[in-house]
Amino acid sequence: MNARLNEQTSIYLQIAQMLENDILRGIYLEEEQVPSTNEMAKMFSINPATAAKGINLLVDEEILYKKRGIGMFVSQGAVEKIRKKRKAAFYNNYIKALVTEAKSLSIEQEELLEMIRKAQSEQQPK
Amino acid sequence: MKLYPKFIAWWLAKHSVIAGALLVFYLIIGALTEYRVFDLGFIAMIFNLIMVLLPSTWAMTGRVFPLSMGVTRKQFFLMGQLLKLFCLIIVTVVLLQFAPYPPIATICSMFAATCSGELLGALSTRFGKKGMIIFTILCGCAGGVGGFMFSQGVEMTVTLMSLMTLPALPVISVLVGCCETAASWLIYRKMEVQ
Amino acid sequence: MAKTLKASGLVKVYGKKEVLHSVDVEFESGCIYGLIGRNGAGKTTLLSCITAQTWANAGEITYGGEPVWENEKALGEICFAREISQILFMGQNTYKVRDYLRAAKLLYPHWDEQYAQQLVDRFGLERKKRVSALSKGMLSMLTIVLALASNAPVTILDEPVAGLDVVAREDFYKLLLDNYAKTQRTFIVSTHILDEAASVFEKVIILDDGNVIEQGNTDELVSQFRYVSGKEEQVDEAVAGMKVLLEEKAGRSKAVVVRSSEQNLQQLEQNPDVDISPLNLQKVFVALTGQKEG
Repeated sequence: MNARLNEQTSIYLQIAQMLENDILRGIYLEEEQVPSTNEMAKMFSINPATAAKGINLLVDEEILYKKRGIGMFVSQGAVEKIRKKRKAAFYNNYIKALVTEAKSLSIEQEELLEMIRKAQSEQQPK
Repeated sequence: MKLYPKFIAWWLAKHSVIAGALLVFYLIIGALTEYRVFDLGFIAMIFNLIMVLLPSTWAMTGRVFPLSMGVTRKQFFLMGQLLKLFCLIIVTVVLLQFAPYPPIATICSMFAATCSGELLGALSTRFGKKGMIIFTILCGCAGGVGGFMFSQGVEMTVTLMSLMTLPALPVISVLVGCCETAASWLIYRKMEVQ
Repeated sequence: MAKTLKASGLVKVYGKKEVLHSVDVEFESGCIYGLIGRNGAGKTTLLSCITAQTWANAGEITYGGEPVWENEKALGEICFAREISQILFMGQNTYKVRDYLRAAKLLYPHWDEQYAQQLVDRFGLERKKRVSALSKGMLSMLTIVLALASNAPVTILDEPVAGLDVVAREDFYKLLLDNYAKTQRTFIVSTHILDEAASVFEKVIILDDGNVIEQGNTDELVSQFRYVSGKEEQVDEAVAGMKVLLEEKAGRSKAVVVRSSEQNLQQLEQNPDVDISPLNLQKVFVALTGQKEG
């Protein structure tokens, strides 16, 4: 959780994304507690309201839930929810940019698909 | 209405050191010149000096703290009055040790002196150094004119003569003091903080 | 017991010059506000007026609905930590650090002496040193101690980081956030140095030449702007109909700063012919206030 914040997206979105990443990586397992708003604010030197906004975003998406008087916890099935959400956004966030960049480099479809196959096979033994 | 007596006491204590040093200085000078140091008039004169300086310093630099730390101008003005009263009481007590009878005229003139000091300080905040100098000159003139007329034995009307007599002078001093205090308040009312 | 500090139609004239032009601002309870503006924009004047340290020529200033002018109760809840003058009427300010601390202890109703001493030690402030002998940085730190330890429900700091280097600035914001997390009090910080500040201010008020040109949530404000660059014709086409704030041209390329609705910006981001990137608070501030330099 020591990733630096950048200026490309709103901070609260970055907070939400970082929490999601950590959940995917198994740093926080389902039903485990995640850092509180104040702890997150302190970690990143940001306004607690901003940290709260990011956390509440995940609560709205039912990735986190609140246990009164204790704190925020990872919901059951959060991992699956995050994957689904990111898969839906994958097209907009990665594919479009990939295609645009390929176009500006005049990489044809067949070459592009070949590159994808190559990258996938490189990652196979894991 | 809170008047922060502890603050006044602290401020006074801080500046009393200087006032006390002044006092000691004059006493030494007096002793060296073999002047009748414990003469009432001499002591009153020294005290007058301190009585003028303390309220003026209060307005000029003492105001830095209360006014910038959430005290209203009305409170600050009243605190100034407490300061003056406190000084007056101390000085009266000291004087009573040396006087065969209660020196009412002296005390009244000291009241006028402290009010003058307060007005001097207030004027300095509003009109700067120029205001202070003009006011000081005015005071000097007022005293000088009266003294001059008296010394020249100038023909005076009965009213003026009666003004110069003992019972009237203290009353005039107090009146003048009150007017000066009122003037100070007019300046304090809308004082800008730094 | 949430009280709002509010000014409406605030006008302040110094001599012949009108410094604040009918300003409307509102500071709600429990938020960290950034009051940002260039030098001479009127930040200190505005803060002076709303804390009754200066009288306004026109307008109403209220705290919890009651006027602040000569209001003992209201002023007891507001702390305005302004720059400490190193020169007093007749020369140097000979008051010492410990005098300010002592006065604060005697005058601020909510003063936290322990916290104050902790901060003084942390900053390495010499208690016996005269204010006129302090460096600019130390002077700023004294102001910060007074503000934080005042524990006032509304605490205002006027350019607290002016004399501080970047390390000290970051330290200050950490302290501020720490205290805010504990006390949830209202903070108003005026500054023109924005690097570290942007992530701390929940709401921001931009003052330009005596006018409030923006007021609202920091994030929401910044997200209305984008930096668009690429080939001139394509940039022009892409931003048609949007408000353009800055323009830079070089050869065939052009770069602009635009401001628009979320919808339009999302569409814009889909445009493959131009490069889009977001702005940060500092760049937004420059875009909004820097234009006059041509």
